[in-house]
Amino acid sequence: MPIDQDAIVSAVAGLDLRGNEEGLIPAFGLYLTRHYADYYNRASFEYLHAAENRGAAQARDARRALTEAGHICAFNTFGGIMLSQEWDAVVMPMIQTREDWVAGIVAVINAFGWGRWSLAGLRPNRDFELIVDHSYESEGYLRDYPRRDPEQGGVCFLATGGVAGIMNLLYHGDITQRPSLNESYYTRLFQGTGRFVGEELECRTHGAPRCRFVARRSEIR
Amino acid sequence: MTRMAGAPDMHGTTTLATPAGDIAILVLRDCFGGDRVVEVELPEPLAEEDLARLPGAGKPTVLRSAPRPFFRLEVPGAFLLSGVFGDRRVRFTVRLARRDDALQLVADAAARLLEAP
Repeated sequence: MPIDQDAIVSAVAGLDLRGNEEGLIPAFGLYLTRHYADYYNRASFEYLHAAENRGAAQARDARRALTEAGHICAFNTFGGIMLSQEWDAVVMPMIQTREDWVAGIVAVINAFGWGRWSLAGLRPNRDFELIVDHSYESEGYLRDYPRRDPEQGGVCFLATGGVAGIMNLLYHGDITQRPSLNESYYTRLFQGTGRFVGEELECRTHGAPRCRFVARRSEIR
Repeated sequence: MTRMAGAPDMHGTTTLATPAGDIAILVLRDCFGGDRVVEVELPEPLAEEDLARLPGAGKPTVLRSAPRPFFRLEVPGAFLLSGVFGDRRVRFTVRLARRDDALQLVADAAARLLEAP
């Protein structure tokens, strides 16, 4: 792929993303915030633990809700980035194929301080495997809580939703056609049949060296 | 002074007429936080020296190393202008305090940007 990850990370870093007087960062046609990862992590993990203490059904619901937050983030943030002028200027000139869009958004994400995302495998329209070194979710968890039993599942919910979101934007919907990112489009991409769903296959909170994810079509899982 | 041609809604495309030519409104939407995004197509693309004509503007951020040179320019209290040099499409993110006169603000700013040097 012709995507130059280092050039993209360098360009995004050069945007000097700072909050305005309201604490919002207008960039990529979006409003970003410089958010405390610890704050989001603690809220997520305390919610998860409270649900796990109540039972399996509650834990499952909590995991779905936290992953859904990742879907919404992917749809609005990743989708917004892929429709932005910054994308047109920095990434679009490198893009030759639809798969390059995946590599491009992974490169942009690597400028955000969420850990080091690496594309481990991509079969167009089938599945996407992602590896994340030092994901901020696993980092925060391991600092504050003991290791988890693998049967409990991983804790990198935003990345799990994110990997599905990237595939839904590109292979279930078609972000390349510049759709409006509205509620009905979200519903079609993330709640309809044939959508991509993410799964965290390995998590550092289980002792894995890095976190590993896959997104596949829901109908063939 | 510029005038608005037509009455744009939040989804339609219309134009703003300025002494420098008609400006097509491509996107008009409100954001979380209350700002109003107005993406327009100018009659001609901007060059870096055009940015200096905007009164009250700060120093532009320019990604010269990007494959296409991207720029951002803040006019404090009014709007953030962003775009790519050589491209006719630019985006004004108009601050909440000026939202009600966003289109007039955009039209006036565009006219200044496009003035003959």
